[in-house]
Amino acid sequence: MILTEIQADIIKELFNRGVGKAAVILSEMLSSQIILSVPQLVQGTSHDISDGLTETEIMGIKQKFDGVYHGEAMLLYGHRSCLEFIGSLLGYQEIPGEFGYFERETLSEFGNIILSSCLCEFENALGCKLSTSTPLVVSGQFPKDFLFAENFSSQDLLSLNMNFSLSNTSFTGKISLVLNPNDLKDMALRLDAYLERILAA
Amino acid sequence: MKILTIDDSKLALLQVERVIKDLVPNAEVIKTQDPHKGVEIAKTQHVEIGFVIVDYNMEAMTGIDVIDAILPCFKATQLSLLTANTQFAIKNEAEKRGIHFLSKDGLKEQLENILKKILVGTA
Repeated sequence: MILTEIQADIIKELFNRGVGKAAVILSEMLSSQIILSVPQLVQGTSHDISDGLTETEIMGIKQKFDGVYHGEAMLLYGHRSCLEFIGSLLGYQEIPGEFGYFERETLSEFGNIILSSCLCEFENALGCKLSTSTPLVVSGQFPKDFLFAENFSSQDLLSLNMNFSLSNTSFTGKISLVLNPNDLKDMALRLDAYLERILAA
Repeated sequence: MKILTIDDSKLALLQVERVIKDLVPNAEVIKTQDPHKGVEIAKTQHVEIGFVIVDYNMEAMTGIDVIDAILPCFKATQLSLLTANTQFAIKNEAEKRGIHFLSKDGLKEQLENILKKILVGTA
């Protein structure tokens, strides 16, 4: 791992805070508690990201972020879990059989809230500007249908991962931020600078 | 006064320590990333510890598990749950126990009032 222990700690904590803040908004929308796992920083191949996803058919969204750093964010759910989640989010009495336009839009907005919150946390802490692409709703296999081409075959992906579930359903999902290894050198410097500011404040 | 902080993030521990030192310069801040160790410290040093700050989202034990383990040793107003995830359900868990609920945003302002009361013995 290129990052030191404290740098890895900071990046996980920023991710934790970003997702935590998004969870507050989403729990109000859902009238349900969103249960979050402890964030993990994983270095490995794309298959390491899929750890914990039990269904082979995956539904979710992917979204690129650019600016000082480049990477992609994903929300991943098993297909059945995702239908259950959307049904809960939209207050349906029965789980929908398939995704229509409205369900996809809702899923996309859900992802956008999480990603925006995470990136905002990174921007504020690291003093950098990041922009995001339009979220794409994807149904297919992980990783081939989710990771953008430049990351798909990488043996050295660095990703931040957090599992989430809803208190009143069996639904589980995964939030994943894939970072570009080429950005880590600069990111390490900004993480150190952030820590210095914290300690000097 | 001794203040115990339990958080699996070193960054969070350093931030909390910084804030406490600003508010109570002579406070002794005990920090641990291991919630089990935190429970042990809280139980063995509860007479000297004036205030405890516990993170919510930790791997080995949740902050609520930690609070429940140490609550018999303290007044509820000496304990606090700290999180960035200020969902109603988590806040409610803190309120049910009569402990303080602290958001990681704006921590200094929140802690200032609480620590003032503890220092003058009205908490």
